[in-house]
Amino acid sequence: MLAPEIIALLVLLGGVVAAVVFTIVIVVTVKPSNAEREENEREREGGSSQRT
Amino acid sequence: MAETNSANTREPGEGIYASSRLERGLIVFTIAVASIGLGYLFFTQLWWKLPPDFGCREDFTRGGLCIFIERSAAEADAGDKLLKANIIESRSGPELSVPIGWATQLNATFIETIVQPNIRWFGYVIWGTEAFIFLSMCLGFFSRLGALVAVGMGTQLMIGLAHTSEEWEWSYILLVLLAVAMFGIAPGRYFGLDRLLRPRFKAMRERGSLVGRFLLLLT
Repeated sequence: MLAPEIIALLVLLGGVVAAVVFTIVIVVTVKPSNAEREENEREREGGSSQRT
Repeated sequence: MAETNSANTREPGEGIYASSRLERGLIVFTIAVASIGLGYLFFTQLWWKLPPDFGCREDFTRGGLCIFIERSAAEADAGDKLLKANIIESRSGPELSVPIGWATQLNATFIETIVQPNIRWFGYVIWGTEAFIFLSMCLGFFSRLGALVAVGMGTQLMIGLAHTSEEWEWSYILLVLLAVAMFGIAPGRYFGLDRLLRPRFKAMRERGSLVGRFLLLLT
C-alpha cells in the first residue's frame, strides 16, 4: 500500500499530464481561425498588441 | 505630433497594454509570479489534510481538516466585523468595518449541516478543489475558472476564520483579493496552456459551437 503522500503526488502528476494531453489534443485537432492566425502574426511582428 | 496621430489611430483601449517588448515581458513575468504564487499557496495546504483521513483522528472528530472545520463553525460568534479600521486610538472598537455576522452564521450552518456530517467524502471535494486551483494557477490551464474557484474557496475561509482572535484578517482578505485579480486577468492567457487553447476555442465558437463558447469563458 502506497503512502498517502505518494498517492497525492501521483494524483497531482496525473493532473499535470491530463492538462498537457488535453491541450495537445485540442491543438492538434482544432485549427485556429484565419483571423486569429493573422492576429498572432501581427503580434509576433509588433510585439505590442492586445492579448485576447 | 506624429506620436499623437499614431495614438489616435489605435484601437480603443490599446493604451493600457504594453508599449514595448520590455514592458510586455514585465507584465507577463509579474502575472506569472502572482498566479504561480497563488497556486503554490494552495499546494502547500494540500499536505496537512491528505486523504483518506484528511489529518483527522478519532473517527473524524479531532485534528487536521476536521479541527479547522470545527473551529470555523464554533467561532461563528467570535466576531461580526471584517475590514476593521481603528482610526481613533483612544476609542475602543473600530470606526470603520463591514458587518459579516449574517455570513458567519450562514457559513456555520453550511458546515454543521453539510460538511461535517459528510466529511468522509466532502474532504475529497475540499482536497480536490485545492489541487485543481494549484494546477490551474501554475499551468495557466482554465485559469479564469481556477481563479473563480480560488475566490470561492478564499471567501469561505475568510468568512469562517478571518474574524477570529488568533488570525490576522488581512491574510484571508489578501488571499481573496489576489484571487479576484487573477479572475479578472485570467493569467493563463499570458503564460500558460490557455494561450494555446483560446485560439482553438475561438475557432470552435466561430463555427457555432456552444462548447467552444463555454470553454472560452473558462480560460
